[in-house]
Amino acid sequence: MNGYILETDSLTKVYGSHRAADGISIHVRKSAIYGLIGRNGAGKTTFMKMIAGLANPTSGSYSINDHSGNELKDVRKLIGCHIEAPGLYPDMTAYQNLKCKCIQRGIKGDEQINDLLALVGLSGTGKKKAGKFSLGMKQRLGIAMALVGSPDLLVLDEPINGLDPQGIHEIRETLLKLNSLGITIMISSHILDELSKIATDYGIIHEGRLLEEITAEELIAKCKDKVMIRTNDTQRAMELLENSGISDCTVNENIIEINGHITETGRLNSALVGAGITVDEIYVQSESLEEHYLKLTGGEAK
Amino acid sequence: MTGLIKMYCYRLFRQLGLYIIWAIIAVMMLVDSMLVEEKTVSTILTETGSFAFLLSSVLTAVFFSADNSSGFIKNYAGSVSDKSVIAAARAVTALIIGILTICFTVVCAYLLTFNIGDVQLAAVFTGCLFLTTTGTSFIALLVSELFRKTVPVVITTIAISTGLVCEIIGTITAMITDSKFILHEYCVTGVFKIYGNSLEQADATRLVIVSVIYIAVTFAASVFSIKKRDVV
Repeated sequence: MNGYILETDSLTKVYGSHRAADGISIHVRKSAIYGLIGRNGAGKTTFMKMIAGLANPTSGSYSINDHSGNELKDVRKLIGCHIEAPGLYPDMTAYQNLKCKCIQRGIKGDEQINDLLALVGLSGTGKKKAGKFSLGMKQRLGIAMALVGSPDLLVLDEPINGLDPQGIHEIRETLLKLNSLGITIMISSHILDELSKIATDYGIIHEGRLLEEITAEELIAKCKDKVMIRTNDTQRAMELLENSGISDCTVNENIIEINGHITETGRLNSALVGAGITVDEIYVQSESLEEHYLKLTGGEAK
Repeated sequence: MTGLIKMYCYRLFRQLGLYIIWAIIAVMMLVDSMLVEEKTVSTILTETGSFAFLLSSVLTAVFFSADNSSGFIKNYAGSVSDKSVIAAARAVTALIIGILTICFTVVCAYLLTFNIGDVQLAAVFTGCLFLTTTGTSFIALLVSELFRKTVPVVITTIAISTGLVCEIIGTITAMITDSKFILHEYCVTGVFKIYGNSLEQADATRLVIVSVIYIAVTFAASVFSIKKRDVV
């Protein structure tokens, strides 16, 4: 056992001449919330479809709970998925849609259905057909469908797309609650700010390739706040800072970047000015997940 | 696989379409029974049997294409041990639809006539109707797997089940060749149509062979398609 619920090895999907997923190797820790980041067409959905068993990989392999190849058929039921739009029968109620999946999975009784309806806040929908649901209700029912059979790994593709702030909040709370029960969640979203509130790990996909796999802690360390200083004499300022015990600093385009020390800008300013160095600019800069992502992908918007 | 079949059956009996096609068949048989003087089960089946397999195959096509067009298939396709299980479960469900429709048709025919007539002939007609219905339903299954969108699936199924495709191909064949090749004899929908009331043993044998070949080929093609193609 290596502690990963999902591991992929050079997973590739080719449509004609287009490599939708190109040798993606990711590692999803048990009980993690793994955020898959990438713009439209980056290959997130294709990758998730392969994991969920909905698309056949062109090459590469993956393992779920250390089961791979032919053994995968024994652990397929450990995955619950919600890929793209929720797959619902529009002429059936929320209860009936869930009942269909319960019957397919061999789950008897209505207990799980009622629990799931309560979990996603759809207990009161009664005889209303799923086709008449709002987008938010459909998304929540889609998540409930993915949860039938108590999966160990939940694969959610853009589950908050089209939701209002209240709906996004509800989904976030639901996912955190599920994760606290030990369910591993892989989630893709365009809303990076929202993703950064729940994800413990990130995989950044760009043009079908995995650019970076990073934990939230590593990302915070990478994206931590910096003090930025522009002076008239960068070399002397660096010497002064090093002599005063600040070693974690670099120079980038004549701007000194100091990791941390964000509460000491006043003291740094006084020290530099006291040594006769003119401080043109001193400010604190934070890097968000979005900025990190843009930096990594080149930031171009095609 | 049993879970999938049970799920399809749960949904089937909540489909208004099932009851609508049964109502249409009942009305057609009622009208037919009023027009025919010497009424027996086999005469009514001869007249209205084609509606049974047409409507049954259309229901099959609509039922399974809804699985693809609504995306509901995404909820279970990944959890089955082998995707061919989906094709097998669908085939069994199509058989169930066919059997139920034929049973309904035969019971209606009896209730309208209270005269079975020639028991052997009625049994042969019922068997032929079952095979033809299964054949067309399996074609509908394959069409719904290939096209995946409801409208083209329904149009194609109607064109095949009514014999329209058979007629078109037959006409083209007659135009470009001088042979006495009769396409109807090799089409699952055509064989039932051309023999009518004078069904003889040789004709029934041919119908059985043609139907079984269609059932086997379309099922194999459905399994191949569902295994090789991505679900969504």
